[in-house]
Amino acid sequence: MSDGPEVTGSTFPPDMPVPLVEALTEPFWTAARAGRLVIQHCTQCGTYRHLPHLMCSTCQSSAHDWVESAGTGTVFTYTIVTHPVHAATAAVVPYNVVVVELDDCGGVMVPGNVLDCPPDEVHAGMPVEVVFERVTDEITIPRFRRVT
Amino acid sequence: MSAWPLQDRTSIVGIGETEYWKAGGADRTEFELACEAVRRAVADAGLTLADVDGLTVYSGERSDPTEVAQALGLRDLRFVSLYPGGGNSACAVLHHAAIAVGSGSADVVVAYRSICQGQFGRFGRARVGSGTARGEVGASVGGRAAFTMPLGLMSAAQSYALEARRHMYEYGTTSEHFGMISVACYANAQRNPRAVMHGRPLTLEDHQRSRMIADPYHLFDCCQESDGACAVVVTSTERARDLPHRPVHIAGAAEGLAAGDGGDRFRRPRELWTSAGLAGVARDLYERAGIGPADIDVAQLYENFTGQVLMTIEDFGFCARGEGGPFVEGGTLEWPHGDLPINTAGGNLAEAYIHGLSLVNEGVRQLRGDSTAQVDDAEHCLVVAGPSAPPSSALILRRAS
Repeated sequence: MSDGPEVTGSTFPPDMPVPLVEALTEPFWTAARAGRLVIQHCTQCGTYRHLPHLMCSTCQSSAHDWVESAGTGTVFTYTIVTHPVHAATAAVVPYNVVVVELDDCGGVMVPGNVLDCPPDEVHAGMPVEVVFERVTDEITIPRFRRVT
Repeated sequence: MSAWPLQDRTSIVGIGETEYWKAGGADRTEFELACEAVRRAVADAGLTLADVDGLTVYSGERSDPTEVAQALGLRDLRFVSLYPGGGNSACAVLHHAAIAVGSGSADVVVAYRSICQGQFGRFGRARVGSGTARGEVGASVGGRAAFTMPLGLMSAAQSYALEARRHMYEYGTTSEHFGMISVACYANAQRNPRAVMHGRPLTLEDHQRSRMIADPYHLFDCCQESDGACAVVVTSTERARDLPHRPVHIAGAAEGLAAGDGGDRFRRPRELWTSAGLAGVARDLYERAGIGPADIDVAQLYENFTGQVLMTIEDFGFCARGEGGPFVEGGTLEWPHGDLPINTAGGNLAEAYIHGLSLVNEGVRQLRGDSTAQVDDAEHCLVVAGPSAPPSSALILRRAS
């Protein structure tokens, strides 16, 4: 069970876009609000998929459930954003965006941010674990922190 | 697979373009530029607008074929196609033109692209959705953007930087390697008076000192934002022989999408993170044209970002996977002495960003002998559209014998 701490005090300012909860993704966001990272899983053939999608690319089934990840993984790749393209990011550059390859759930790639990590210390191959950042009453976003 | 039945059966007989400007510089509307580019290309071909019976466009072209056909007084329009995506399509429209002409469905097909980023906003800015369904980023974002934009992953430069950084991690590629691509393009732009960056030379030191946009991408790793339009005319090789220019044959054309790739790049297979996703297109293209990488004299390689050019070079077999960095060292890509001169008009980086179609025009100039960075005795030019933006496309153009 992912037991990453809840982080208060958002990485981005309040005018940052927040996820719209939709029918397909409601279980993901509900779980995140409860401090759990869940990954969509085909109940017909067992393939995991992320980002969420209506259909399994392996067997074309729409039947799925959501499996909880331990939330640990490795930074597969990253960028450090210096040039803000949205007003909400102007005050927070430079910031990192990472792609985390999860240890479980089929090694799916999960985009995220690593919190409390200076830009020059972010690197591919870095072990991380999930943390949950409450950005509104409704929305909690899974992000990551370094595992030391 | 047997030989491609369309090999050399169709030819590019006309090219046209407007002046190119830095975004915001155009003194006419995007629509007027589209029509001007088409008219110029048709005139260059020695044809009249009444001869045109096909139009092929891409990326939600705002100068809609129905409007262009009416404005230009086209008669008997028999073939229209719209390719999905963005700059990935710049060669696919020529593939479609070749299919339409080669099958007999149309006689004269014009591919065109007009793009005035000053009038309509930058193509790769922070927006949600794709194609004509694009919208401004609101307070909340749905679909796949719900998993990226709230993380600050909002632009093309940022997304493509993720791939470049992984290539660096796996293979030891450096920012200087990316810079060598920019330097080759800028040097060619200094010889080309049409280029927006004409008179703006760039050294590797300039590249390294330029501001960071999204690590590892500096400013000069990113394509320009431009205003302008261009167009290309395709007809049968048989008819081409009676027209003013030496025909440039479409020796091969290919498009496609690697297994498992698609709209959601997070779900693509792991190995595609360090590829332009064009290996299958390259295989088909060489087979259709009946040649291999050693036969390519000059190449026009779409630069969305320099790292993707490096991965394109690997996908098309000019070096092994992961060896793109060492390959570009020592001036390999530079005209006139490099083994693989690229983007001889300056490319998207330094001529203009007309969504890649200007690269086709330059390929044609090379095989007519008209380039401002002419490769001696060029017989084959490879043109590759937007890398790592599936489904993408490529062409091999061949000088008429």
